[in-house]
Amino acid sequence: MNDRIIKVMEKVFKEPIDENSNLDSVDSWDSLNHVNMIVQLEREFNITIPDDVVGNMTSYKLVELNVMKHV
Amino acid sequence: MKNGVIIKRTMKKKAIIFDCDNTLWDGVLGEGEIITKDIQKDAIFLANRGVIIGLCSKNNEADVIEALKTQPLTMDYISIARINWENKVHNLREIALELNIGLDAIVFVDDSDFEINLIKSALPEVMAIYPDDLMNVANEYFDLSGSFTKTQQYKENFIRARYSKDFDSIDDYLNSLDMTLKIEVNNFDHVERVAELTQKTNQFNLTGYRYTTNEIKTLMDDNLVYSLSVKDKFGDNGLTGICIIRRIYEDYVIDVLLLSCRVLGRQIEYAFMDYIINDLKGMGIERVVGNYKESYKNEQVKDFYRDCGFNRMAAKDWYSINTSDYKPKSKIHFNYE
Repeated sequence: MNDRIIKVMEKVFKEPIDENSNLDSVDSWDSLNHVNMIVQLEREFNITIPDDVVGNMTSYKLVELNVMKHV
Repeated sequence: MKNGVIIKRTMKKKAIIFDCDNTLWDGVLGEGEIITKDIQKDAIFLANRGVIIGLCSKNNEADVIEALKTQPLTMDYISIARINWENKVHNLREIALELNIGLDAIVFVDDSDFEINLIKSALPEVMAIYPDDLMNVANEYFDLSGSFTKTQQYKENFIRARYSKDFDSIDDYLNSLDMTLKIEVNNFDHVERVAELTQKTNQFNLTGYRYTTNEIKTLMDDNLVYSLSVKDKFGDNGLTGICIIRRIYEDYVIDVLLLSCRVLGRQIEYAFMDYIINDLKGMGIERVVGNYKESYKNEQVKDFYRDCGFNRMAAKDWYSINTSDYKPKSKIHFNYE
């Protein structure tokens, strides 16, 4: 697991995140926080996540996969 | 400004078919204990995103059905299964036929080198992978977006959020949105949407009272039902805010005050309150009373009345203000229709 990603996600969703967290298990994972998460990840890693993968980043594993592709 | 549209990737795969022993769990059914593997959680997640989940394994069918009763990935998530001692080439062909999809829409997950290589050579259209590659492949070949990411509003919010990075202060950014508010009172055309918002809104909702369309109609007869519509340079958010003022004896009570989460974080709540208090003052109403009632997920508005300059009353979480003492709270420029 990537601590920086976990930290960003926990800050956005305000609850503990682990490897199996996803938008079904995290209560506050709504459209607004999804956008917040993307923007915060882009800032933290100084990357731009392409619009076409943003929609797919709906679980911790998918977030990590897609962030790591662009770092 | 960025004028992005979220491009939908072309979906190439529709179904993921899993082997059972040593793929969904460690161990072999009928040969001692099995231990659940995390891949089942991934399979459930994928099933919830609309991916067809199936089984193709060499076991006794009854054993698998019995085992799944105590596993996270229950039969509820499984759309199709071929559990028998036939070869998997034959079974995968049948699965494709039964699902009425091409073999090239199928991903097959197995831990065994033998099965993977067999499928790769006999059915090259099927993508045969090891369990560890599941999420990588899923990310690449499936649409895993939440239902919200498919909606227009999500896209507009997303463009707004990206766009906001170009501004130094949030106020500058909000002003640049060129927001227009339309506030109407007792508009019967809004009855259904107003009722729907009272039913669905959880976060920015001071009391959480739920009303039916008939109740809203009745309320409009002799109370004030304010409805707020919001648009900005990126699009029209429609009717997204409600405030219901009821007269209870001598008091004017804010019975409902809510905003849809679509329009939160833009200081619209303050502009709405400014407008309402001013309107009530214009009607000669001197004092307004409101309360915070803790409900599902509405903690963020616990201090809203205090932030608006209301005074605490004796009863817990009740607040009041004299309309002549009220000072407008919104620092952002809004147009009014």
